Amino acid sequence: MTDEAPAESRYLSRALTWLGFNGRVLEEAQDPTLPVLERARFLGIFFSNLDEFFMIRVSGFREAVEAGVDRQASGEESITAVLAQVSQRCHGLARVGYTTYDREIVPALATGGVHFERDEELEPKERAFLDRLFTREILPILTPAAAEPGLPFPHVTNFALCFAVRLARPASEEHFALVQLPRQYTRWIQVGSRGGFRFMLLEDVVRRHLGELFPGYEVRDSALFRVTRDADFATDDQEEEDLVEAVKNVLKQRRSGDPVRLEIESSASEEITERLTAAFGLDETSVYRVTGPLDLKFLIEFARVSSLPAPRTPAWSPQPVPEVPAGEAIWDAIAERDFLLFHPYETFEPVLRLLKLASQDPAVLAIKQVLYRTAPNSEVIRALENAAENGKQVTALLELQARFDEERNAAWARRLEDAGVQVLYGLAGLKTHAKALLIVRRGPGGIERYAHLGTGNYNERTVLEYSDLSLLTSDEDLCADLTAFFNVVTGYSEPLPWRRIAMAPLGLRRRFLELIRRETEKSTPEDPGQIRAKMNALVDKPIVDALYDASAAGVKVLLNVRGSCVLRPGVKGLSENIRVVSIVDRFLEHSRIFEFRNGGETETYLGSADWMPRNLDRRVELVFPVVEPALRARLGHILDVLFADNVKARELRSDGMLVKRARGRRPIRAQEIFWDEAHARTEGRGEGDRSAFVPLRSAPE
Amino acid sequence: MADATTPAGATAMAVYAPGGPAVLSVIDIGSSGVRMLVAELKPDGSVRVLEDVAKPLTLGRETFRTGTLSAASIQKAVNILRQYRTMMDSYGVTHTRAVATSAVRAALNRDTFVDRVFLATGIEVEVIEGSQETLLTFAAVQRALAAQPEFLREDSLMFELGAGATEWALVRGGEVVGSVTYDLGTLRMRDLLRAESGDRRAMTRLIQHNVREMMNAVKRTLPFEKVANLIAIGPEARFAARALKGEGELAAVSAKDLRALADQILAMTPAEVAAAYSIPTLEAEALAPAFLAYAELIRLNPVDRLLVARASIRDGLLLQVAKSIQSGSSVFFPEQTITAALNLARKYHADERHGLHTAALARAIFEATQAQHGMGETERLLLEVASIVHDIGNYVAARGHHRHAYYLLVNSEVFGLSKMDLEIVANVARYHRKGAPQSDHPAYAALPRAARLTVNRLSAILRVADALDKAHAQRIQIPRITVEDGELRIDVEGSEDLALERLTLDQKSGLFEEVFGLKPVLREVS
Repeated sequence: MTDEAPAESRYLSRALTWLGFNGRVLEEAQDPTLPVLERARFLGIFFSNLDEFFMIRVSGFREAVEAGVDRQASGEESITAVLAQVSQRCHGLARVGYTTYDREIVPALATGGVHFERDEELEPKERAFLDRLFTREILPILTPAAAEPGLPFPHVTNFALCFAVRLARPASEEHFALVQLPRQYTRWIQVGSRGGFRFMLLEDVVRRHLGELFPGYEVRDSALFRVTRDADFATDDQEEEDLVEAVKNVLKQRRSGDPVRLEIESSASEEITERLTAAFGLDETSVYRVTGPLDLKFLIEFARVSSLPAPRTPAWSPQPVPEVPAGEAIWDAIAERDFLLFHPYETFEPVLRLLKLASQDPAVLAIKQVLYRTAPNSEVIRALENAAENGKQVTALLELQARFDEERNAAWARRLEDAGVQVLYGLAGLKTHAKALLIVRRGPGGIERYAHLGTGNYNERTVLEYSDLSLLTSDEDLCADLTAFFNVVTGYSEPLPWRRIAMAPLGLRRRFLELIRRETEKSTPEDPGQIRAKMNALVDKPIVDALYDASAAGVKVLLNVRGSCVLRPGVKGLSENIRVVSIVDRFLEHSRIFEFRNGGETETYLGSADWMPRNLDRRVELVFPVVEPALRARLGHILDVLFADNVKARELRSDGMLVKRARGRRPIRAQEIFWDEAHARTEGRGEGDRSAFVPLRSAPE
Repeated sequence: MADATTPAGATAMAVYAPGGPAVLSVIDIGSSGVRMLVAELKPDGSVRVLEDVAKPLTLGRETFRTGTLSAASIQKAVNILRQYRTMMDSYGVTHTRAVATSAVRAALNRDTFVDRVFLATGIEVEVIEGSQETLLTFAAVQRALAAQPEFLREDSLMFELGAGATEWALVRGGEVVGSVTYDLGTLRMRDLLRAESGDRRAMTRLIQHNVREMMNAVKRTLPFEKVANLIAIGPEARFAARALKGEGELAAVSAKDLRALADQILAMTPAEVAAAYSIPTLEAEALAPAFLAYAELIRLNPVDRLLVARASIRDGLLLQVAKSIQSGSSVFFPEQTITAALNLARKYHADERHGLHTAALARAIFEATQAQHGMGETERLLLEVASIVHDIGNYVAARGHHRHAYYLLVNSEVFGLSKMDLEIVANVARYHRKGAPQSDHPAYAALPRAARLTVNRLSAILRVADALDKAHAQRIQIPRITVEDGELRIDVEGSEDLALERLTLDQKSGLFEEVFGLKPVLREVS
């Protein structure tokens, strides 16, 4: 197979570059220098990503093909061709994923004293324990469903693990039944500690007892399978849907969407496999025969079990930020200057503290916040509730469409409303993705406004795992813009010209295009322009085209794009001045930074938006400038380090493949440097002295 | 301080800390939207805008075509103002001013509108005249210009091409010396354009023709030959400045760029324009006609560029409310109003020196009797204006000239005065001689009670002042005036024979005695 798009194609395939990114995640799982639990976590992430990819992306392709939509537009491969390549890549990646599990993760876990056992490896005592467990706890929640000819095939939930069972009874024809494993039940069950931590997977416990579910029948044959269904585009989050417009007539509900993939144990009989593929209407290319446990996503949670003896990465716990004063002094500090927080190297605590203080401060009049994805039992929600109970005017814009979080969000919404919070459920047709908090306070000298603007969600959990940036500010212009922003999203006002921010879908793309164009126009051979940008995905063609123009004008364009990237870098006559790197490391790279050299008067922006049509056209996003020179310099440094990474970064080649970068004289790992810096500042080393940063010897070319 | 024990679910109320800066709000109910500013008045007199909100509402389209506001539109306005009220309450707004402009002004049911809004929101809407709109915006522009002395040296024409009409003001030496309203606005131009259905050249000709007629009318009314600056205000002008990358408080745009911008806009449908620039469709429709009109105005005057002022009527309102909080006076540019009154007096060939002297005498009496009447700066200004123009009726005929003055005045515009102000001035002039105000005089009887009282007081003062310059010779210079023992003692120095004045005073002081309970006495002192 080849990943090469036709030579004349202006753009890379979005799906294939995304798969390249996920291959990169898999690479981390294979990295023998990492502790095994970290590798297991990456493997879980890899499979989780792949699930999502099938649900959103592949189903999108299929629908497009079925709806007769095909992109024959210039510079694009046909969907059918891409789909074939995607399918090939997915099979290949899944195979490597399982090989990694079998040959590397399992043995390494065993070395570390963690074992996944099979039935035959149990001692009688242990087996008896599991038998009792099954009878008492699992059996009551299992519901076998018969699949009889002439009746509709039983519904199988998206992603659920399910047994297909062939049954026989003397003097009777063969029967076929399904047993779905309870999703709420824990996936792994500890069976004993002889020789380490020993676990059985839920399906292996059930498998032994399948016969008990069908009294009077003989289990002739069984196999575990899992089906992936087409997602509802409207709830899409991670992967954008440039085909939405074309295929919206064939949109399906996520829960009841059409199957797009069948994963089944490789030991399954032909009879079972055929029966299922027929029932789900799938062809051979959509069947994944799996040599290990299905749904390895569970490894993410499993790797979090703190009691496991196996090696894990030493914690890089968020460091306090010495410049941010403790307690209530934070008000005055923010009134005085802006603060930039770099999570998760630096703690999110000041943001939460500000919110908590605001909820209790008698002088605070109003709190306004956009909540996209919030952690369970969120302190943020509690603070808002509390604030409303204390008589403050609290406005919360909850984005209920945040995928998979709908039910959770709906529960908070009710709680907040009960407390007296003005709860808004987003804007019709737009997902509110901006991350913003505004606090209005009446001080002795008048109204004071404090804001938090960020690149990450108000989620205490992801804030520990995602690399994001926060700005705490009382800047008059930013706060005025944010006030106006909330007036727009709450329907109090139509949009008026902004002072500093840019907002999607109202002109954010235009703003970016203007910034890129300005850089292009200012660039001269003597004084070439430079654009450095970091984001999760780059798929917006107008922006890609503008970047090509910039490259042609001699602007140096350095892009740090974690996932999909349709920009084809390094092509002579098209993009020779553009380089694209992607970093996959322990923290998910999530920040969006946009830096324009602007003839020496550098402008740096942060925000919630990727350069994707989804973000620019169909979401409410905020992008804001960082104006304090010291903070802008710090962002410059962060970009320096990110682009210098030669350990975890990969460079995107013009053929769309991610390749290792040449090592300089010493390895540079950006996330490690960031953590060291945060740590050093806490210990008073180099506080306020940026020369304490690790100097970079190999400049980003 | 805050009440921390506010029970859950209670309405969130502002924590108002007395002593902090006052928080004010101004609301502008215009032809295409309802807008509000909430701002803080700092001790140094500067204003800091906290909220700037706008909701589209196309009242203009309705009024200019049907003459009334529909119940649905009134309800929409009420809904918006309710939201604004909530926002005002959340800041603990202490001073507010809400005005409605041309769309409501032109509506036959404007009183219904004002009543509905008041009942539903407690917001008192004042319907203001075109000249006041201009005044307010000018106030804001003038403040913006304060730092640019070159504008004080040259004549400037300031205008706002509104939806229904265009307001003009001539600025000389930093003061407004005249203003005029011309009935041509973007709505009418757009209708003209529609009739030409897309023929760009025919459209342009039609607009040029209309604009030329307007400019001729403006030149007939305002005393100028040539101006150095053409300053545009209003949303379309601001749009052009933004689109053409004009910067600052006064952004310069050229005729060429304006025509190109108009072409660019005309190539799109209004819906596309609205989407591309994130503006309401109604506003989008007004853009191209406005730009073509601007370009023509640049050519006609001729100037090399149009200056676009960023200030809006709301900025002016804010200044006015701030001014009234700080100094107790909401009178803007009294000098300009006086100048406008003098222009009016000249137009009707009234004796300017007599007018000015009467005004000075009237002001002296007004100030001496402050304790008796308790009136403020606005009323004093009305008195001065009435003093200046009280004799303009002579232009029609000397006989009954007080009655002629009345109708000339109510049909005029005096920069800075509202319709009601002008009614009062006209009544005061009406009663500067002959019969005193009577409830069977229809124009007087139609006034609200407070206005009638003002007319009584001011015309009483004007009669005394007029008597003191009976000879129109300014023989009595500004006297010392005191109130003592039930008398208004007017002490005059010098040896002139004041028999005429004394006689006239005896004839004309009856109303004064009636109103103030004081007998005017002219005394000679040495």
